[in-house]
Amino acid sequence: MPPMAIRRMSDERLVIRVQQSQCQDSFNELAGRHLRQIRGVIFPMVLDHTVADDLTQEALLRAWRGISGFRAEAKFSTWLTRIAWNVVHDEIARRERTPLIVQSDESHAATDCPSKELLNRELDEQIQNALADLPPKFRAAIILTGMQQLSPNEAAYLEGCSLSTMYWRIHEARRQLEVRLAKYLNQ
Amino acid sequence: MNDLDNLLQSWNKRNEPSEVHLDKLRHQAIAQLSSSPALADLQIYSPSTTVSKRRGSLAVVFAFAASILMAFGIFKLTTLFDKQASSDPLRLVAASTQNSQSLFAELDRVFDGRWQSLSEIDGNVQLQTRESNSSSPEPGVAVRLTVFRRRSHDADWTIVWDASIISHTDEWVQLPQDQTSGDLISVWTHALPDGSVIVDSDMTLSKPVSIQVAEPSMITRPSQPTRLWSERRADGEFQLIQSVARLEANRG
Repeated sequence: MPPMAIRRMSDERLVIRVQQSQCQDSFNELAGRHLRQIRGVIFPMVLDHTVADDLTQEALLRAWRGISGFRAEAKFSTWLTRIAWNVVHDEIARRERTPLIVQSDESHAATDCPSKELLNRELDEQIQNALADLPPKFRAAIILTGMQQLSPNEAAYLEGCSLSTMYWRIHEARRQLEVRLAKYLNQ
Repeated sequence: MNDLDNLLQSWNKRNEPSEVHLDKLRHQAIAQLSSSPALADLQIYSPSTTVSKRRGSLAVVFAFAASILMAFGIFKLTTLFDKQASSDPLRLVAASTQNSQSLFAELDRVFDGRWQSLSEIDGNVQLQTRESNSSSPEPGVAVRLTVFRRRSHDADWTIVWDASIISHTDEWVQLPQDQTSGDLISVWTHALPDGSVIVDSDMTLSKPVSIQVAEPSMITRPSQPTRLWSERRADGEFQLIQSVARLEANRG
């Protein structure tokens, strides 16, 4: 199968190819399409780029192992995000005994202007600290809805909670972040 | 969106990895797949590759059966393709699927699953066969693509081009097999538990009107024809309508 043909296939068709013939090229294409999104939900939860990379790879492996169980009732991207989300929760449960240590990684925050970079670095540190201090469930709520732009319904599905619980978590997370980051808001 | 959302999103953007970094990550993950044993535990559907030892005689049977089915197919399929006129093109394609169902069942019975698709494109019937049959009786789908034209706003819509394809679900059907003409129809379908069908359709057509359409993963309800494309030109207004019908397997 030429690479161009695979690139033109829909997610659903690629999934069927993986399910039927364990086609790695098809899985590679699926991974390429959704990697940014799944790493995007993992990093803000763990706040460490190295750990986020490891967990992203772990999520892809779990998806590969479990893809025969995927049914087209949900979108593939939602299913994959749920796997990434489970991987994150496993990691957070493993870390429960130790507090979250925020790692700053300058390679991901470079700009052309030194003064702007300095300001961004300070701001980034404050935001990361504020996120790190949130209880994981609140952090999850704000990441899914505020950063990943999922609807509260989708976020509730991923978190396995009711819609009203999700609304409450979003509200609480926002309230706590607004207090912590008041200095940078309304400027 | 308020200030907090902006703040969080710009922070998130600054922390996004580069494309190069993501590519590296993906390659590392893919490299580990081969050593991942878990897929072996899973039940994976794969079509049977058993081929009859009586291959020589099969070819004769196929040729004979194909000729019968061609005639049967032309008769059955064309009943769906009456060159009617109507003020509503969507209504025109909502034809009975009974003929497709009996044709599908007949193809499965005669070929014992050793066929891939039966198509009729503007009157030309093509049967695609294969040597191995599928291991389970997959359901079927009839996909119909119809181009309508009306010369003016007050005129009725008439069919100017028609294609109908019958195949099992999860088959990737490409027509015509000779692609030198440049015209190509590619259809893939997948049946969902709720009765709807996912349809991927790619179509490049030069006559009677130039159309290039690629519709990935359109979830279609059998009773609801879908407008894939429309265009107003000097010689009239054109629409491409797609409709599907689910066909039940009854082999073995």
